[in-house]
Amino acid sequence: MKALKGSEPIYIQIGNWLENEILSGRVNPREKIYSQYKLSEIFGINPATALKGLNLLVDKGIVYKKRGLGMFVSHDALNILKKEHKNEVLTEQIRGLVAEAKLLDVSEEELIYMLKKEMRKAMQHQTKKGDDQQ
Amino acid sequence: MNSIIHKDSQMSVAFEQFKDKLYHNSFAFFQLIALQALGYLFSFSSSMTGIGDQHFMLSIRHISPIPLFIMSVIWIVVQAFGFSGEKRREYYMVSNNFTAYFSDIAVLEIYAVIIGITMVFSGPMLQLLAGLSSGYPNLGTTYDSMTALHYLSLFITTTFYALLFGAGAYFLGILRSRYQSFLVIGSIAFILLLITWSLLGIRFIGPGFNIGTAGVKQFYVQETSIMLWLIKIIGSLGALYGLSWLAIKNLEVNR
Amino acid sequence: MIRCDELTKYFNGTRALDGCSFEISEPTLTGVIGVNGAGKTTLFKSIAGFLKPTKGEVYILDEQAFQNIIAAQNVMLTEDGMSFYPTASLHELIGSYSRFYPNFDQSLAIKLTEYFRLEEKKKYNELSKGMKSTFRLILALSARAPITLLDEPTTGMDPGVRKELFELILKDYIKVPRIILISSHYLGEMEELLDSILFIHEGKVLKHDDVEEFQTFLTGVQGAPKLIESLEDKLQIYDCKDFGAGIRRIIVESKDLESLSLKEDVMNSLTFKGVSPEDAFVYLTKRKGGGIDELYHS
Repeated sequence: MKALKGSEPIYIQIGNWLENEILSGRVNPREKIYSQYKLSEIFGINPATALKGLNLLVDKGIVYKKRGLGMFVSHDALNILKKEHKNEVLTEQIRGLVAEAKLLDVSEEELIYMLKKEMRKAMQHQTKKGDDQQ
Repeated sequence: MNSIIHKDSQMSVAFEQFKDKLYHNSFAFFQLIALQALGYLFSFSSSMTGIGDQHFMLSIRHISPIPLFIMSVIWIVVQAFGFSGEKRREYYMVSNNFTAYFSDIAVLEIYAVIIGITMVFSGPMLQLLAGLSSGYPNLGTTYDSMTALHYLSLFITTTFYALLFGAGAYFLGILRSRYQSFLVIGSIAFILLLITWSLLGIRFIGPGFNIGTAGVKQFYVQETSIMLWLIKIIGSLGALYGLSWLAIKNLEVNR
Repeated sequence: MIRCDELTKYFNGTRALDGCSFEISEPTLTGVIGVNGAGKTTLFKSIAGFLKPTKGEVYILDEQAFQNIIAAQNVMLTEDGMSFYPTASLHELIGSYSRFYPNFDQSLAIKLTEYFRLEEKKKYNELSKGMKSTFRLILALSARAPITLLDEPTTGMDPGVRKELFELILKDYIKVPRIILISSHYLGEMEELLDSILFIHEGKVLKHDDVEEFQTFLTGVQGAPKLIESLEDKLQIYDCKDFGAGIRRIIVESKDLESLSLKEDVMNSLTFKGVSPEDAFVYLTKRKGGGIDELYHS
């Protein structure tokens, strides 16, 4: 049985865990995802709580219910997840960057310049990798 | 919901309790046998006590079945008192005061009938034991004249008297459960019953009636009319059962 | 299925229950949480029909519970003080109970008794405290009664066995969904099992809600003492603590906090922490006043 930790409500932790399963490719679009009872068994939690976690994904459109058959990952799931993560995670990191920059007295132009430099470097690294692979 | 809801009647639950109580108290029969063995022992040392006539015991020479009956009554009194105890009611989760009461009474009825049966066989039993010990004393005429009717009346009287004692003990036990103070309540109940009996005794028997336990005995034992005797017994039983029910009705189970 | 309506119970002048009201009609694993003496056991005994309400009522399947045979056959209560025939073996007790509870699964009871290494031939009073608790739980779960009340089911058990038993309760609940109420004064070990919590304090229902609600009910707010103090008179404070490094922390209700609509700069200079249901329970039942700290400093 997997252990849950963290101070977030259990159903939110379940939701996050499920999203990671999808993002990491362990469960693919159009495949059946864990049922509330399976989750209940894996984590030792109440099935109603597990269902709440599943419903978080239903609300986001990542998972849908096929009557009589169970819950399935929608074909669109990866796109939705990536977009969401972009918005949330990236925004969080940008916020951190901006705060740090402020602290160090880095101006907006300087920050954008540094950002562009890093992106160009990463692009070159990507292309170089591509060249090596060919 | 997968857990099915049931709505069985009170009587079916009471019957289930009745069977269960008989089963879990089966060792009580061994206690009866032990006490009766003691009774047989005392029978041999008692002197002739002729209460005579067909409504009560026959005593044979120096051997009397009365101690046997007394031992049996002690047994049912102890059992009845035990059944009325608070702990006993706690053993049953699917129960209420009615089913507990009803099944208790039903078990006591069975116990009383068993006493009646053993008393019927006491005659031949005593003869056998007497024969083994002192080589067939002349138990003769008194037992020879015992007809089937005599045995029937022996059975009925002993069963009913056993029931009466059992009901009395049960009632006192319930009072103790309810009021937690046996001495006070028991004494009050006893005095009230004595008064009731005395009043009835005076009404039925007339000025020769003694107030007190002797008078109570007189009330039942000196009755010559079978009908009247039955009415007295069944009436008393009814009263005791009714009072027990009133006392147990709203009792809580609180550990 | 269970409905308590201003249920009140006095015992010799003590108010064990004081206007308790709630309703449950769907299968659930609900934790009944409260301090010792909050009224949990009295509540269970009233639901089971053992006690007569002083005021108010408790209805089981729409019938008053006290002395009701329909309530009795659909409710199973297991608690520390319950007694069994002293001469009966565990095997015989299982047999007896199976005759009174029509849903009873005897083979399950026997399998569990073997699994937990309880000797069927032994008598109940010969068992240790922990084994008695285990047996009572086996009986209660095997009975599959539509309403099952477990009063502090893990009393006296070893920690390893406790965990297993909670697993067992969850598994059996999934197999045969029904209303199961588990009372405890220690929420921690069973929080994951539950879908709802019935929080009893001083004989009343303080809160009856989904577990998630209890997980987000209170919030810890931490920051510079002056800033925190400026908030204090606007909120109900459940706890406050001063940490050495110029930090003060208070515990408040999340919805109160939200309704304050603090400005962004204020929000950014504060740290917010979640409060687990276990801790929430402690704060909600705390005595008023400074507590142990004050005791040592005065």
